[in-house]
Amino acid sequence: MGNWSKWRAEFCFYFLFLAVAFALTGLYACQKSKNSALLNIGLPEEPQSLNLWLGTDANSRKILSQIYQPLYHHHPETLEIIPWLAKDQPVFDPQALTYTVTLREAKWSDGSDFTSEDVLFTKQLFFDFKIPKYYSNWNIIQKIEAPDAHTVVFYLKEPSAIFMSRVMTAPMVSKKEWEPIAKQALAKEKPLRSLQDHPIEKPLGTGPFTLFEYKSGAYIHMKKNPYFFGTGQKIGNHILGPYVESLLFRIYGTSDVAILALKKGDIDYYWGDIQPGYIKDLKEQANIDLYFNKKSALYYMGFNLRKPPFDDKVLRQAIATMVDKDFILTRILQNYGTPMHSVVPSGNHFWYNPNVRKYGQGKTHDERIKLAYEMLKTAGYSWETPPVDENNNIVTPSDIRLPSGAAMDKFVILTPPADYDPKRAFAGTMIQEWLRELGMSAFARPMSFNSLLETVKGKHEFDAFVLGYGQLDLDPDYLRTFFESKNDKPRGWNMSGYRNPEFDTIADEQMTLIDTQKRKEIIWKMQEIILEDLPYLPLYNPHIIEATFNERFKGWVAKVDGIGNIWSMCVVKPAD
Amino acid sequence: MRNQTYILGKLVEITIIFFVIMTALFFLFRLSPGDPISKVADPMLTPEDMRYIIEQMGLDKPIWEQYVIYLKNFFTGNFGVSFHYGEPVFKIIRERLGWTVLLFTSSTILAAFAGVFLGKIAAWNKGSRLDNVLSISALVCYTLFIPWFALLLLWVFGFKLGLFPLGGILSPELWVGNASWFVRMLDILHHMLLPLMTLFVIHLGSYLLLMRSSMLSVLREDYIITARAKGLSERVIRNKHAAKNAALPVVTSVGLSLAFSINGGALTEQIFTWPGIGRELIFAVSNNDYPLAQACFLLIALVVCWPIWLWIFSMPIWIRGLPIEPQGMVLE
Amino acid sequence: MALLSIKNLSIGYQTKAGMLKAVDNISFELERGRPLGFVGESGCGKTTIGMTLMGLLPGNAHILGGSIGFQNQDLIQLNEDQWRRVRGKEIAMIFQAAMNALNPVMRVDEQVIEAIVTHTPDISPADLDKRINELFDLVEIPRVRMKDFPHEYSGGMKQRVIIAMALACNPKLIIADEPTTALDVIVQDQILKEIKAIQKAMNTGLIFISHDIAVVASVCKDICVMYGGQIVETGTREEVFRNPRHPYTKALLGSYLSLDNELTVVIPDMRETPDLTLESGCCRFAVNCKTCSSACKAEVPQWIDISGSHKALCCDETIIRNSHE
Repeated sequence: MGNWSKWRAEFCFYFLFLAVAFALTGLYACQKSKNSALLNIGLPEEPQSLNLWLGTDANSRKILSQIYQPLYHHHPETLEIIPWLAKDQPVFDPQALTYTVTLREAKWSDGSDFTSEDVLFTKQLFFDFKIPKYYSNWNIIQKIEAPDAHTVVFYLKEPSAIFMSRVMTAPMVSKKEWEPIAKQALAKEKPLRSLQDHPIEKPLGTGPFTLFEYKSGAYIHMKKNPYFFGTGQKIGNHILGPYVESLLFRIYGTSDVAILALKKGDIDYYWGDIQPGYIKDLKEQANIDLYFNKKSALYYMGFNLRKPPFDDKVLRQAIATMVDKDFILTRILQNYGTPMHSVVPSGNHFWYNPNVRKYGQGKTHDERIKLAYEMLKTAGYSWETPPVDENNNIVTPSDIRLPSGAAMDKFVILTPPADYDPKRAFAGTMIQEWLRELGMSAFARPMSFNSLLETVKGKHEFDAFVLGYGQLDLDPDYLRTFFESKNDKPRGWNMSGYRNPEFDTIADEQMTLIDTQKRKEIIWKMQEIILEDLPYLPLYNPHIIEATFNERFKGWVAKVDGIGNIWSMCVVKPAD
Repeated sequence: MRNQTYILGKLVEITIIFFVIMTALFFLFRLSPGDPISKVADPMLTPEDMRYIIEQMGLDKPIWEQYVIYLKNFFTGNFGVSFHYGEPVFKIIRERLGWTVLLFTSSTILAAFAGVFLGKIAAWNKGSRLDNVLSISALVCYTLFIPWFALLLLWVFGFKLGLFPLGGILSPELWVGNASWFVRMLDILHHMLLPLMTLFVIHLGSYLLLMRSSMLSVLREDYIITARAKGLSERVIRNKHAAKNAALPVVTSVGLSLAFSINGGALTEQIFTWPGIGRELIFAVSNNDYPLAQACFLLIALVVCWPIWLWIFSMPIWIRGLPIEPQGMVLE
Repeated sequence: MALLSIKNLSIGYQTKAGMLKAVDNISFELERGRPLGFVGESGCGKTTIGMTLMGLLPGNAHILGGSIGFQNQDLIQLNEDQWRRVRGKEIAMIFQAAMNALNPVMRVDEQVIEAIVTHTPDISPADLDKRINELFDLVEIPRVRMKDFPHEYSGGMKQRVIIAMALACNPKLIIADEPTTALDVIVQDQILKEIKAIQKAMNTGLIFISHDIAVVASVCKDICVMYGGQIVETGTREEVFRNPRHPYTKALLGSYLSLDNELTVVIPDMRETPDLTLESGCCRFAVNCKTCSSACKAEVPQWIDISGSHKALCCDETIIRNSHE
């Protein structure tokens, strides 16, 4: 009968399938060439868009920042603002409130000249479309003039401390590329959305690389820009290349796989954060270099100052005393980070105030309980059973009462869920336990990120929360955004509802100071006020941990926020 | 005449079903917390900026107005533009769907064939050692934790042995050069193998168990005794009489799992960085990208209703009275 | 010489309760041209006999003893390969068409063709075609319906196909196991007539199994009445029908079908099911026998000849001999 032949057919089918698989394997082994001109980079996610105005996510920025360039950049080591597309530092005229910027002889990647016309056009684009962020940053400019092709004069409405860091670091776009698109979009019902939705296949920029091919779902191939103005120049202590012919970005859906790819040498660099759990293994690999850098980030616990019990400053200070940042750092971050004492990261050397009040610094756990107990008792809080008994022993407390005599309700500390960020979720639980030792009924509750933001930022219906800002600007003007009274509104960034007229006054003042030294004094003062009033309790600042495969390329430039930056791309060289 | 009324009735039924699905999708997404920009944690973005962005997305309008616009757009074939990517939803889905279909259709069909084959043998030798081995391995396959298994495969075959690439759909090194289309095709196949293997193994378990139990119940049917009484050999009885009947539930389940493969493979797609629609769907939902998420779910609804489509497409044949095989799915 | 001769056949099912003797020490002979009917309630062992003759006993059934002489060989000694050559070709079975006796995914003619091709693999296509047409003509199914699927057939047509399937290879012995039970009365009548006609025309041996003594009587010349795995009375149909001697036969003739399950014969005043685990030879009917004496439970029942071929199995000869009905 024909049955055996049918069996055999099935077997043959599977066998053939396997055979083809292994034939392919051979092919793969052959085609894998060690191309030293090609820098392979792993990305955690696909970029959102190649349209600069829509692609504001981290991964789009990684690509687009190689293309679109600002007039000024932060120096990789000193973090000072140094000329980039501009030739020199701007000339400031305090009388006329003007900044005069001279441009470099730079070219767009299609060979045409970059001129003051482009700067003017970029400004017009920001204003015409009210492009989020850029428009509000540039709104301090009254007008802008171009006396000649390489000079631009910015007229300010009022003196501004943030002119350099906000205005001058905006990316410049080409009039040639965007003028027709802008014309079209302006005529539409929703101009901004039309502009953002316009498909951009070959972005035109002045940066070190140009986009060569974007194969959606597979890779992004960038080639060296032959017209890059920086080639051979010494900027920011580095002689710029680029020294590689092309960049090849590919996406890895999980960091586990990305790290395998790194160890195997499929990629030379994984442009994403590596969790501390991988470090032990990666340290043992001879062909892997690890980089630990400070992050310009702020991870903190926020309180709702609009209602009891957290409307009381003393309570917040007592909580700050209980929270052992070193413990969180060693236990949760496994020491890959720094405890945070001010709302400005300590890596931001210039603006960071090391002298702010440090609650419970260096104290043991029992000492902290006693300290917090004293603070609360003095402020009028009472207990059924106090956490510290007559013999100065720590006991399990019960029924804490507010100074008014009312019982303290249970409160909830909202955190992001553990699958989103285990560190913050665990930190929330730890804080919950510490607060319970003071007799408070604290509950840490993880909540999906969207809901968390909606609750905290949109509705203000919360007691306390643990959140973080991942990519904090280097200029500390964000203190104004976070803590000024006028930003206490739905969707506003003053989520705690902090209102302090004294703070508001000096916050507005620092904005107008051109003299950085004077401004620094005020910024320091602001940090002191915040750490006294504690709308936010800064917790920690994780290190950004990155890894490279060191057999093919070397010369990565480490700075705050890691080695993934334009400097690295401009100076990385083949290893031999 | 009766036929026409019937068809008309069915079409009305389908229209209502889809209308209900679309409405549910629309309101479910808008009821979920946050909006497309709630995740943006850039302190440089003022509340005014955010309001402006929301307005530009058309989300400032009253929800009923949005709903009417949504329906109107849908019936004119306009699925809208993704909030996240700024690209037409239709284009995104078209790009992603191809990859998902390529991976899932092939793995499902392969697994179904293998499951039918092995399930048949297991049921036939019920209680034997072979049956025990097959059933237990099928159970193991069935309960495997997908991410773990996928990572294990990647680690062993991709990393330790270096036989396969670590995810993705192609080798960029190869594609940026000038490789022939044949090599490129092989390259995609090569990338497909590990995810294919993962899905194959996971599906195999359920198909094997399904086939085994279906086969066991078929073997108790009268026509098996009839076949024996005819003096047929055991192989003929097993393959021709029992397996064909037993495979029918597997065929049905393949149909259903093809529908669910759109979202069901999100984890596999994520780990192998396979740019399929499952990953996209998860992103779209977590980013509150309403147009894209709605379209993805609608697509699932469409595919889940595949028997209806099959039925509609076969209508002309019924009407003209052309012979078609009842239960005509012959599988062995 | 008899076509089939069964001697002292015992068949048991291995169950958790022990060995159930479904067939207990039965003997009979079958001649061509003399259809033999088995009648009894469900569970009396009649189907087990049919399955034994097809070599299709389930795995937990064991032949405990006896012999089945068929064409100079003992069927009990056959191995699976030899059995396959007998099944369908020498001995064929007509099943009840009720549910799924036909494979739902195969066309009807294919299922008949299969039976032919299996036993005559080198038959030419033309001959095969001829044979198929013959068979369908014989069972009176229009040729245009040959390519249909079973679900397109009525119950009677299905039963006819099953008959055609059994006849496919001109078997020497046909076993019909409840072939008309699932059919309505009119179709039942047609089928019975057909079976009789075919049997006559082909002169095959026929064993007809049914719970319905009237049906059996209309087809068979000889009848065996079975109870609890034993043949309790045997004779020609006139003898058994007109002059039943065994108390069970008498009860059976006065029985009716229960409403809820067609296959269960309800006999008034019979509540006990026979104990099949009893030792071989005991009277199984004793539990329900109105004339039972204490001797019945101890003694081994004996065959009591009444006249010529008419015999009954009982411990008490007087009951059998002095029939008052």
